[in-house]
Amino acid sequence: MTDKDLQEQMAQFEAARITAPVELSPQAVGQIVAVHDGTDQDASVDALAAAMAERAAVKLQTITPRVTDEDAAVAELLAAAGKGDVLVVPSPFGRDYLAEGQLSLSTTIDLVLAKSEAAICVVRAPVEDAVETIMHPLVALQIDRHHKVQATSLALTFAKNGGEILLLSTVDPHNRVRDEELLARNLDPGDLSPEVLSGLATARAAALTAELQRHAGDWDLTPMVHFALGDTVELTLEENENRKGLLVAGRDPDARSEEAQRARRLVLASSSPVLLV
Amino acid sequence: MLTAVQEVAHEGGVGSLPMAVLGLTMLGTYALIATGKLHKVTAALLGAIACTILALLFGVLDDYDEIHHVLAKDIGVLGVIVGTSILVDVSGKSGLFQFLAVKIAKRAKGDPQKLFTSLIILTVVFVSLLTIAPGTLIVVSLGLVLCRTLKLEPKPYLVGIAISANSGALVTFASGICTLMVGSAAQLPYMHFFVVSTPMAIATAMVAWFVVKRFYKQDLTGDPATAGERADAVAAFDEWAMVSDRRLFWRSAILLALTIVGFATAQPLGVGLDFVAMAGGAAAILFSGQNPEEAIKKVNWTVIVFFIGLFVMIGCVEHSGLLQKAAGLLSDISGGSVHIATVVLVVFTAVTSGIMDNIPVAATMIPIVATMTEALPAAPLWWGLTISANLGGNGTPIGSISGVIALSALAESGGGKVSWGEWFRVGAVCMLIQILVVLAWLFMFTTFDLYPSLTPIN
Repeated sequence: MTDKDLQEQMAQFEAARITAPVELSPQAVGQIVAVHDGTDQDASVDALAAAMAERAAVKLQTITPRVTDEDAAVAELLAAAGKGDVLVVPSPFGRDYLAEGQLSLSTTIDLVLAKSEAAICVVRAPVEDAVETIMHPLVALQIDRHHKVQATSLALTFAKNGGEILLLSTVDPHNRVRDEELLARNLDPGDLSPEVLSGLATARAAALTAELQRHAGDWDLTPMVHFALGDTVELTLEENENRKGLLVAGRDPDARSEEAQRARRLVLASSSPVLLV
Repeated sequence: MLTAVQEVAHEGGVGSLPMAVLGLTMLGTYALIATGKLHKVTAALLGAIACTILALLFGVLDDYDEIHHVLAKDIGVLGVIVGTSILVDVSGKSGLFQFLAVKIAKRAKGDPQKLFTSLIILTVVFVSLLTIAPGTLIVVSLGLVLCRTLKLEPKPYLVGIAISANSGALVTFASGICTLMVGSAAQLPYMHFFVVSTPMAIATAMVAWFVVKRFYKQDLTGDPATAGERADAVAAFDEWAMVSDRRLFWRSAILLALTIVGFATAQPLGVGLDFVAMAGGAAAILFSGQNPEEAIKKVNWTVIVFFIGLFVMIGCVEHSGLLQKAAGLLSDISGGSVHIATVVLVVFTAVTSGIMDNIPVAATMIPIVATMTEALPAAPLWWGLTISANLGGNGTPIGSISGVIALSALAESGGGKVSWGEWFRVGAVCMLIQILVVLAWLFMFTTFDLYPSLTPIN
């Protein structure tokens, strides 16, 4: 038994002292809108949208905007789905992902991400089993911590009734100056031992963990929580490598923000679909 | 060279010289362990090497293969430690015990005295299931966090945990390392613990509760004006926040329960506890989905290597006949009375266990008691050794691993230090009363012949 074991154990108990409890429930979805662009991504978009509509028990609508007119396409996409809806979009818009689109999201998708009030599921690489994918969501809590409750609620909608939801809580010790919670704690760099950071990662997920575990039986799902230290995007991709689940994260409409940049990096690098809430 | 020295040794009378030299080497090793001049593992390994060389030189061991026979005798203990360490690590990661700990602590509603009682109960239960170090660590951590939250002085709580942990080690065969060592050597059936040892675990924990509570009376009273605030602060703890994997949580609970049932039924089934522990450990790795490398890393290798060193060293000394002589001396002192022998054994073991690590004390006393049982009833002596080796650790702040964990955590967290003087006034007093209670219990069992019958050791 070492001091590290003690620190780790104490951090767990500290995390259990929840100062701001959250209320969690599967989010009601208005409709699922599948977007076709005539590319290789259409099949996966269709499969995912159908699976989402079925699991959320809502209407599925399919639209095919003009790929040649960017402004018109953006307008059509924004008009098709509003607050409470889920827009399932191919990326890059109008180009085959496998042939030429791995380095870009496309301007259309960037604009939709910035302007739409709907949750957006970005589909890039082919999806093998759409139902399994959405029933095993991974919620990356630190992509945008301000929207983590919304992200988890929407993930619950698809994972409930037999699925498995994984919450990933991370702390990046190399990005300390950009981490508001770390800065707020006013810790000396010398105090940032892996045990202290793991404690913070645990604390960040504590309220959601508690709520999720408490109601897991009611929702008939298996919740899991993992904690990791390092770059949030890299850790999320690493964690999802074998699961191949739907990645779910918050989304800041301000494209220049740290959160929006992280979400964009995640979508670009992920081979699984990413649902940004 | 070896043969020449052996010849000289034989000519000079092989009896006393090897005994004296090996005995002094063992005592020297124990002095190094007790004073902390060398890490206990280093000291034990050096002692083992020195004793092996000396035993071969003096012809105490006919050949080196005898060392393997010495170790083979205790391989079961090592198996239990490895298997339970893996199982305990997996259970710990599932959040099962942390969940239970918070749930029970919340029932105290922030009342300092009720919280103290809750922590003592938690300690005994957790140590009995998880063994002393992991069990103590969980309750100490919770105690410190609760004290910080409730703005309470942590010292009474941590001292209470440290002392009652040694009672928890008496609950079952596998609850403590000393218990396991003595139980294995004496072939004490698992179920017998519930008759003889578990009641003593409860009684001595109650002694600890009473003595520590009385000693720190001032610190265990909360301001009635802030009772509501404290209750709210404790209510804010959510036990579900500590469960990271619900499946693992339930699997751990089931595996732990099955392992306990396995321990209880091992003897009738004709298998050893090491088999049950290893099966439990293997199942834990299999069903947890945990990386086996990570799980195996959590095995307490320090204790395992320490044991190997000790077993070799004590095996060599035992072969010299010194421990049998010590047994004869103890039997002589008792004048053939099992009551006196029990008192001498219990007091000697408790005092030496307080001065140094109780593992070497138990390891050394096992062959001595085994010899004593040739002339005296076995049960009181084996039970006396088991109980006193555990409780003796309460005599000093360094006498047991629970004391070391709790006091270093207290100092680390800024909760202050417990001086030797302070410990003597609480821990040693506690140990004294506990030993008196134990002696009375053992006397009652001996007088009324209440011990479950033991199978004679081969």
